[in-house]
This record gives sequence, structure tokens and C-alpha cells, in this order.
Amino acid sequence: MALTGRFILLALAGIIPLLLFPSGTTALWWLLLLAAVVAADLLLAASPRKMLAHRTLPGSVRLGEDCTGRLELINSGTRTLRARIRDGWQPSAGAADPVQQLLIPAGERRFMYVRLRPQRRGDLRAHHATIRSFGPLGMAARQRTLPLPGALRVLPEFRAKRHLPSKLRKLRELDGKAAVQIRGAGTEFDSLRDYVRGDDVRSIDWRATARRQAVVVRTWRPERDRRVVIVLDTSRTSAARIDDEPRLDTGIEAALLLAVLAERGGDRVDFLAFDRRVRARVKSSDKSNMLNQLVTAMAPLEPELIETDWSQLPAQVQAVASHRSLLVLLTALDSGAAEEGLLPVLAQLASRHMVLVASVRDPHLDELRQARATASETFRAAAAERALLERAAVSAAIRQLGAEVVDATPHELPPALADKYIQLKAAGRL
Amino acid sequence: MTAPAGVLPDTAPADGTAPSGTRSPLRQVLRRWGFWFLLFLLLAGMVVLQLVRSAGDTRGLSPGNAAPDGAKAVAEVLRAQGVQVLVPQSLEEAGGLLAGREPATLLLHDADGYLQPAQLELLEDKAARLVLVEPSLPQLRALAPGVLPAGLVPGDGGPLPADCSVPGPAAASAISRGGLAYRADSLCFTFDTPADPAGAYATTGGGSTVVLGAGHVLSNGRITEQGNAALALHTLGSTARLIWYQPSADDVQLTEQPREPLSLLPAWVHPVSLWLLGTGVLAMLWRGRRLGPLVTEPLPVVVPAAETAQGRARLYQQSKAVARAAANLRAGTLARLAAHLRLGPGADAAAVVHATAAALGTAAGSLPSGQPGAAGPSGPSARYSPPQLEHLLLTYTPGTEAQLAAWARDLLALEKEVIRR
Repeated sequence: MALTGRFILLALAGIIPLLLFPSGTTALWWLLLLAAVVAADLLLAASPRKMLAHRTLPGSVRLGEDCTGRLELINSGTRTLRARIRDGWQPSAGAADPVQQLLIPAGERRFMYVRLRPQRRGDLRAHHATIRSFGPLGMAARQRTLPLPGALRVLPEFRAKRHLPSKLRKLRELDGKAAVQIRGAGTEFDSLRDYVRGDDVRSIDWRATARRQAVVVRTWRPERDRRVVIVLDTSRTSAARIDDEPRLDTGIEAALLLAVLAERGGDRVDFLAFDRRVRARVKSSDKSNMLNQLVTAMAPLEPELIETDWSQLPAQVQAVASHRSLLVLLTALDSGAAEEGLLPVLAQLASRHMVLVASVRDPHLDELRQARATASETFRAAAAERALLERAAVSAAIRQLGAEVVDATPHELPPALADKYIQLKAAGRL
Repeated sequence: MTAPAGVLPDTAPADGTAPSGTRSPLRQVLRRWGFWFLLFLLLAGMVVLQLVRSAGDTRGLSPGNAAPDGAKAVAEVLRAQGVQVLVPQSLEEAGGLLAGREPATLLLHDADGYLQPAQLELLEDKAARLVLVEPSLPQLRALAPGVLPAGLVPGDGGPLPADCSVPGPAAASAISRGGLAYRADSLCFTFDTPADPAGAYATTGGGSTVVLGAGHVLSNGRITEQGNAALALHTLGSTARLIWYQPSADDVQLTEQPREPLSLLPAWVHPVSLWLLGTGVLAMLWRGRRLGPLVTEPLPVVVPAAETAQGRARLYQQSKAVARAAANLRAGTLARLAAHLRLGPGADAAAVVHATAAALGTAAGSLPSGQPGAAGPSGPSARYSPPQLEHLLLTYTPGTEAQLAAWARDLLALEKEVIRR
């Protein structure tokens, strides 16, 4: 049951008879009137128990995009329902109009559309819908909450997509240093074509030129069908917030850009989110749209507050890719966590695979390092220097084990990782 | 010795103390209810303290008050001497006691002026002997006409000599100063004033009414001074009964009833205000009814990444680790300079200094080196000589926080200078 503002006004109006006939009897009569009005309204209101509700949601939505949730309400009673209805979304779902007024005649059906603009990645949930059914006088209402669970999967934003065209162009330029179509399968030698000005004269195929009247050049293409295994660390270090973004989200952006780039480059991409057990996995053997699978797998990832068990990693990687592959570890280079867990395993991994460790660098540390106006700031600068030095030491140790390191700020990490991949591919080190 | 060695530590303390595995039930109860138990004790203690405090008599010059400003001492001595000390609680009781056949001394001490003149007249001529302690003008007018108040007894000067032949004061010979002064025909313990002389002790009515301005002579704290005790005992102990009457607020005579202010309001005010109150409650129900239960938001963990560095900085500062901070700053600068000057990871510090000097193109014999704090570069044209560079980069160790900050700024300036070129 719920009261309305109109009822409060009616109660306030009781002052007038009390002014005219100030006695307890007047108050009693007015109270009786109020009670009668409320009782009549409650009895005449359409029963919210006779409402059937059904929720329809889009399967998934990208972070930063709008979508619409639909609530289908069927009035199976015999009275017209005048109701205020609230769709119970969690706050980060960003429902613009979760409370709406609806009028549903008996036996009819109406739709309520709620615009959602999710503010967080992951699975956002709605638990219930509440119907407040007003009586014909608009004085009182009956209220009921229907359990109506629904979940909306919010996919990562993939802001790094804007880097994709330039990186793809770079990748194509690897083909004989010219933008050519990628076609067909082949090994390192791609095809022959007519010489155009600007081609490297060293790539002229003299035999083919001799057979034809025109000068012919060989075109090369980078190695294809290499394996790329992206391992995303979801342990406690991934919860750290750098530039107002958790390390995990930066890792997701970088992994997405690299995966799309590698797929276009003809390589096979496997993805693994891992801390003590596998949180998400996408296999290259699946035929459907890889990007779609990736974002769907990444959407519900959350930082787990546990330490990564790096000793399990070789077995996990072995299960995904038994051949030599490019192993990209998206993790943190904090000293301590990395020294104890990652470094011992890295030697073993580096002997089998090409290992690339990518980590987010905190630009705030560089700011701290440069602020030296007061004693406190100087101590802070010294602590930042220490953190950076330790980080550099870990990077050096990783490089010594034969792995590569990409260490960049959150905005620069995805393109930097893509550049590193292109560079390794150009050098034939995959 | 059948038990394995690993069990021993567990079983050993079992004989002396409680078994380590299970706590005693009492301790468990204490652990669970300890806080509430303590709270209860605290509250009970406060209540008891309050009861004890309020039970005591705290009035000044009260015969039951043992504090320095009370008068229990003199009352007890009088009782020991066979004087019946009676303490009436109201005017009626005092009047009843005075009506007794035996002659009685009435001590009236009404510092707060509770009694009205009409009530004071009820006491007039009832007692064989009347002692007014520090009376006010209305009390004097009613009970001791002819005695006038004369302000305070000045506090400076020695004890007041008796200066009269009234038996009590004469026996006391001198009392300590204090209390109120009066003017009358028969005065004792006089002192000179700009007007007529005033005294702390006055008698009228042929000695049957005593105005005792020096009330402090009765107090526990000062009764032992000078002849205070003699004066008190003589004044109060001359009859077999002493009625020690201190009026209280209960004696205040009620005047006519004031008009009920609420009765001035119109008749509708009561019902309407009650009605408004009820409507307010209804409005709360109206606004407070939520449209369905709250939906919780599973919030993510927020860990600022630079938190560890900040914490380490505070540790440095708390322990004043100037040398360690300096080592960090130096190592960082050297590493960056080495990287910028392409010296490779194996380059030692001296090589970095050398390369830095070369990069800056410093000529020997430029600015003489001084303290790093003083020799900070003042602009892009500032030069560093090789000894100065070596001093700045390698040998100088700051001793205080101020030196550390100044040196750190110089390092940063040098770094920027090198990297700009």
C-alpha cells in the first residue's frame, strides 16, 4: 500500500472543518472520511497481482553505447490498471527513465521501454519490477514487486579500435614494402607483379623478367599462420587503477587491438584470462567471429584479489598452443610479485616461445619523480625513483631471459603492443 | 613415551593452565558479553556515584555538612556538650519546635532570602534567644530592628578584637576576619569605616537577639582560627536546645496562581496542531514509501597504483632516511643520463659523469664549483665544470632534508639541461 500527495492534501483540508467546529468529533468524522477514501481506492485499484511481466533485453551492448530494455506487461485482471512502474536496474546500468506511468486496460498488453546507457563493463543486472497501482480517486495505491531477473552483458569499449587502420596499413606495408591486397595462401614468397617506380630494385625477379618483356618484381609477404597466445593476468595487481582505469581494462584494450591485428595479419590468436585458474578462454580453432567471441569472453572479467599462480602457466599455454608461438603476457611489472612468480617461469617459457611481456606504466610515478619543491615531495620523488628503478630492474631481468618487454602508459600501451607485434613479425621472429 | 614428539607441545600446558584447544566457558562468555558487561558496570557506577553525591548535605553552614563550608563540627561539639541540636526542615516544623516549653536558641540562616517578611514575623519573639547569621535587610527589619547592614568586613588586617563586654565575644577576644558587617547600638568586633564604626557582631533586645555577621566562625574550615570556636559555642550553646533552621525552597510562599497561558489561545489551536502533526506523519508515509526495494551495486575494488610509492615515501620521511632517498634519486638520474647518452647498461658512474660533461660541452675553468645548493643553474646558460658535476652527481651526500630537496632540484635541473641538448 502507498499513499499519494493528493491524499495528503485531502488530509490537510481537514483543517477547515476543524477551524469552524474545533472539537474531537469533527476530527473523528474527517478521519472516518479519510479512511473511507483510502479503503475505496484500495478496493477499486487494479490488483498488481494479476499483472504478468516479461523482460526482453539485447544480448550485449558495447560500453558507451545506448540500448533499450523492453518490459512487456499484461493486465490479466478485470480492471484498468493505472500504475507507476519501476524497472529495478542496478545504478551503473544508467537507466534514463526507470520509472514510468502506464495505463493498461483490462486484458491488454503494453510495453515499457527503458533506455540504458551502461557505465561499467561486465554483466549488469536487473532484479525486479515494481508496480504501484493507483485507485480511480488517485488517493492510495497497491504496490507489488515482481521478481524479474535480467542481465545485460556490457562488452569492453575497445577504444583502441581507432589505432587499427594505421596499424593494419603498417602490417600491409610489410608485404614487399607496398600496399597490396592480401590474397590466397602461400609461404613467404607471395607473387610476381609488374615493376612500378619506387619498388626496391633488389626484389626484381630477373628470370621472370627474362621470360616477359616487362620488368617483374617478386612480392613477399610476412609469415602467416603463426600462433599468438595472449594471456591476461586477472590477479590482484590488475585491480590497480592507473589514470582512472584499472590495469585489467587497459590490458583488455591492448589484447583486443593485438588480437584483431594478428587475425588480419593471418595469424591464429588464442586468448587466456588467468590468475589461479582460467577465467576466460577463446580458441583460434573456432570458426565464428573472433572479435565477437573475445569481447564476450572478456566482458565479465573482474580483478580477483589473489596472487597469480605463474607456475601453472606453462601447462596452460601448452594446452592451448603446443607449437612455438608468440606468447603475450599482459601483467604488472611490480617488483616482488613479478620477481617471485613470473621470472622463474619465464626462462622455461622463453625457451619454447617468443615471449612478450606487456605492462602498464603509471604516468603518475613520473609526475611524482619530478616534483621536488619540498622535503615531502622530495621523499616522494625518491620513492617514485625507487619504484621506477625496481621496475627497470625487472624489465632488464626479463630481457635477459630472452623475452621482450613493452612498458607504456595506459593510453599508449595498445598501440605500443601492436607496434611491437608488427616489428617482431617484420623481423621474422614469430 | 608413546605420544609422538609433535603432540607434546599441545599436551604439556594441559596440566597447569586451561587446555589450549578449547577455551574455558567463562572466558567465552566474557569474550562475547564483555563489552556489555563493562558498559553495565560503568553505568551502574555512574548511577551509584550520583546517588551517593546527591544524598550528602552540601548546604553552607548546614549542621550535617562535613565539608569546609559546612558546620557539622560546631553542631557535633554542641551535641557532645549536651545541647539538643534540632534541624527543622520547614517553617511549620521550626514554629512547632519553638512552641516547646524549654527555652531554645533559634539560629536562622537564610542566605538565599526564602522567607517573606510575613513569614519572618512568625518567628519573632518565639525563641528565648535568636541568632541571625548574616541576615539581609528584610530579615533585620523583621527580627532585629535597629540593626543595619554595613557591607562586608574588609579582608585585610589582622584578627578583629572583641572590643566589648558581651560574654561571648569577650570570651573569644578576637576572631578571624570575614563575613558581613552591621551597625547597631551594641557592637562587637568593630572596625573603623569612613562613616560610623561597624562590627561583625551586634546584639539588640537586651542581648536576646544576636546578629552574627561573621558566619564563617561556624564553618568547619575556619572554626579553629583565633577565638572563632569560643564565639560560636558561647553564641549557640547558652540554652539547652538549639534550633538550627535554614529555610529552603519549600518554604517559599506561593503567591496567587498565574493565568494559564494556553487558556488565552483560541479553541481551535489544539485540534488543528494535533491534526497537522498527524498529517505530517501521513506525509512521511507518503514520501517514505519506496517504489520497490533498493538495488545493490557490486562495486569494484579501487586500488590507486602509486599507493605503494606514496607509502614508501612516508616511511622515508618518518625515519628521516635522507641518505637512502638521496641514493634513489642519484641512481635514477644516473640511469636516465646513461640511457640518454647511450652508454649502455654496463656503464659505471664515472663514465656517466664524463659523458655528461662532454655532452654539456663544459670547458675547464668555467664557473668555480661551490655548494650544490648555491650553484644551481640559474638559466639555460648555466655551466657545470667537471669537478662540479662530479660533486653533484657522485660525491655529495645531503645531510638534512632541506639539503636533500635543494640537491634533488639541482639534479633534476641538470638532467633537463642534458636532455634538452
